[in-house]
Amino acid sequence: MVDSVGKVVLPGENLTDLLGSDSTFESSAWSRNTTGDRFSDRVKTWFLKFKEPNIYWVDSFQKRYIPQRGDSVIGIITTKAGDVFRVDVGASELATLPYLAFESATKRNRPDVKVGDIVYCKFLVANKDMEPELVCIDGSGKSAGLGVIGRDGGMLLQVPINLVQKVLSPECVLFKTLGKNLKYEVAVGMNGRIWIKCHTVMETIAVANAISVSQHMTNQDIQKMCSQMADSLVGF
Amino acid sequence: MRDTPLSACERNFIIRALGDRKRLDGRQPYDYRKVKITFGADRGCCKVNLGQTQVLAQVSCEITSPRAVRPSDGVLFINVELSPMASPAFEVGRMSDLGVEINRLLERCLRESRCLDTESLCIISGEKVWQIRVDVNVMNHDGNIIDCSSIAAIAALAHFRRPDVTVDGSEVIVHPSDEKDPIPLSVHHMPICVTFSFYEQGKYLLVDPTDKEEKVMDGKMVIGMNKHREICTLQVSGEMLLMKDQVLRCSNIAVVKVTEITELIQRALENDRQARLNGKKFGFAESEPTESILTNQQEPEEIQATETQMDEDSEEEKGMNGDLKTERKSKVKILDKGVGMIGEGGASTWGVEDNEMTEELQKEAKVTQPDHKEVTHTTDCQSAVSTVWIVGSSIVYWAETRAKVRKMQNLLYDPKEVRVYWDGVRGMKWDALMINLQRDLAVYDFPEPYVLIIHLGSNDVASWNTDELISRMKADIQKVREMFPLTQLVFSEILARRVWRGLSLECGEAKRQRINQEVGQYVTEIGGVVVPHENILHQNVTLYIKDGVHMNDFGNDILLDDIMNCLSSILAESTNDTEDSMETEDEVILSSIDLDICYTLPLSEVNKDIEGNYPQQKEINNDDDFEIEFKTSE
Repeated sequence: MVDSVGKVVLPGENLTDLLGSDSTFESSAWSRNTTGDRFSDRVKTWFLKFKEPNIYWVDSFQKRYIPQRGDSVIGIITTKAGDVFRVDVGASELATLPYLAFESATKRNRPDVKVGDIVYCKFLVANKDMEPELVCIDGSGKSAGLGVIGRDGGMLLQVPINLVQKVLSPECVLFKTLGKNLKYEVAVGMNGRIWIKCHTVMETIAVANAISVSQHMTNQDIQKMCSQMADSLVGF
Repeated sequence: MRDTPLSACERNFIIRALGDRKRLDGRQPYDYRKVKITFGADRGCCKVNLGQTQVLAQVSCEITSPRAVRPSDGVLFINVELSPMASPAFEVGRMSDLGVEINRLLERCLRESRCLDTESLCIISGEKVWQIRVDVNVMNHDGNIIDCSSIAAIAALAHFRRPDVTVDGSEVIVHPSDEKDPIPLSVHHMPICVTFSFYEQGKYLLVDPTDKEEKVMDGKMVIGMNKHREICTLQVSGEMLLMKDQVLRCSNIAVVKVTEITELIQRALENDRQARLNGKKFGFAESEPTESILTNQQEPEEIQATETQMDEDSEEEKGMNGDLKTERKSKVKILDKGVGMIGEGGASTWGVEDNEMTEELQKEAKVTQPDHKEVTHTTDCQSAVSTVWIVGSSIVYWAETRAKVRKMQNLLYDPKEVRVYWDGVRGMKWDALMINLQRDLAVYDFPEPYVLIIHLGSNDVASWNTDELISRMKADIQKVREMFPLTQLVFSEILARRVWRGLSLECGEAKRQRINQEVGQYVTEIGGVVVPHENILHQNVTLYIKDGVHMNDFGNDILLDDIMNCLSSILAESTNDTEDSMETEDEVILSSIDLDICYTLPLSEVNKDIEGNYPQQKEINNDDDFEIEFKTSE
């Protein structure tokens, strides 16, 4: 079934042929089925892809995010509850973000975060049995770019998950090409949320549109599109 | 489930964008999203897409006893369901406030406006009447469900056919559709709801808000109107107060929108009727794209991009490989016998250049720079095409649009002889002239012009002292002269306006005339030509659109005529010259790339615009596998 790479696979298809004689099978959270039988079902549907030397995965267009430990995401603060903030990350439940998980936050020195703010944070705990937990600091207590963003403007854009993965991959030239012509600041969350800020409103909207249309474009198309867009922005 | 909350950042951004009169999807404040109406195979089934918002309406009928108060009237029943697949905020079961509001609005709009003739639904008075039931299902919520539902409901009612009945004494015979053709309902008029959303206490107004815009709005107003300018229903909701003139303004906007949408519905109904008549397939299956797996369907995004020449980029496709090589094809210019030049001389702005020949040519170009002026005719070496640039403000932009509509973008000239390049930028002021010209040359790669028509200055009349403006204009025209020493300069006089921003009509008119006179005189002194527009006077109301500044179709036609007359007189003089210079085409040492250009493509291809619609050249296209069509905007 190695020839099924690049084709659509459905749940229930048997993929045991892909394993060699002495390979072990690791499956990620997204693809394990409920009975835990490692050799048969896949829960997701779409193209089977292969990456050297030994990873097969199922690539699909998905909009809803499933929390993964270590992912950096953009969340929106919805409420305060006791010692934690409740943050919406686009998953099936709200995640918690403790007050103390910000840089230089102590019990007396509360962080300046309000309901409705956007935060760039990382998942500390994310599995199917527990409520997801977020933090805005890294292991050594530094913020490392995490924390409240968007205080001074910018726009939040929601895109499908696979677009985020595409845009963050090293082969994709989108951000580089945009950076040649425009000054912009961007924060990409793995939950499909992208925060963009430029000098003017029009540039921000243009960059947001550029990102969302690049979903089905090849690198060449992206370059063309970016140069056209930059020209039209310069030419008012 | 709950809906994604709206963050403070997004809210602030939307308000700020409104201050700049910009919307997130690039629409103008009074623009509707794309409306798509499809009918199903069943009669009375209609699906309407308003951008991403999708609503399905189904009409059905049943015989019941009439209401006691109206024994000879049929019954119209409307039911709106907000299904959970439309939005995570909608829940099954009990209708939310929004659901009740939409239901009530549609009832008022359709039932109380008497758009449907209920008396014709009577079968036996007092005993049996038709009950027409409209079920509206919201399938996707991306803002403005009300408008979408009203369009779907009225289109479905117009599409529906009820069974024919015959009354025999007290017996009622309902004929099935194979016995007797079902008859349509009698729809007197088509009321459509138009939603306006208000921001900042009525300061900003948007038509057809999307989901995000709805979340930010202060309040909204819904006007239900038909194309006969009759208001069927009016509702204001939210936390704001409206002034009387705002309500009147909104109703005027609604008139325009309703007319457009009614036309769209009629057209869709007609298409469906034709399809059924001619035995073609109809229904939803036909309107969905087949033979492709789609989880995400996206309409082509409209990104504002000015027209650029695409054919040159396509040559580079073979060389591109993910690195950022943005080379553009350069044209080889013959300077002298045996000497060719690529680029304008000066420092090389190319990245990695592995073509030794072109470097040599560059050196030669630097050496032979003083000989440049010996060229008698600045035309492209590969064909004797005269290029005309028309540069200017929004007047030029709209003239180009009009020319495109009339399919005369090249001003009725044969593209092999004369090529017209338009560069009209709305709001352009005189200061931007030099920048735009340089950009056209360097970035857009317009070939050097034989004739350069400048129509600029009307946006500066109000903001500058007349003497200062005149001297600046003269100085810049001198600079243009130096930049293009061999180009025929044409100054198109500033058009009269009915409304000058910041000036009275008399003052603006006087300034304009003085500027035209002095600058025109200067231009003729240095060898240019002036195009007067004697027929465009501010007293001619019929030439202007409502804003009093821009031309309508008639005005634009006069403008185009003036330009063409001027051009024809200039070009007629030149044809005497061209015959001489054509014979002096030289041999040039060309690199391998250039050879490819010269020998594999037919000569006329080089300057061809992919987006141009020149029917006589279309058949040449088949051979080219360099040119890849790339549609960004529709």
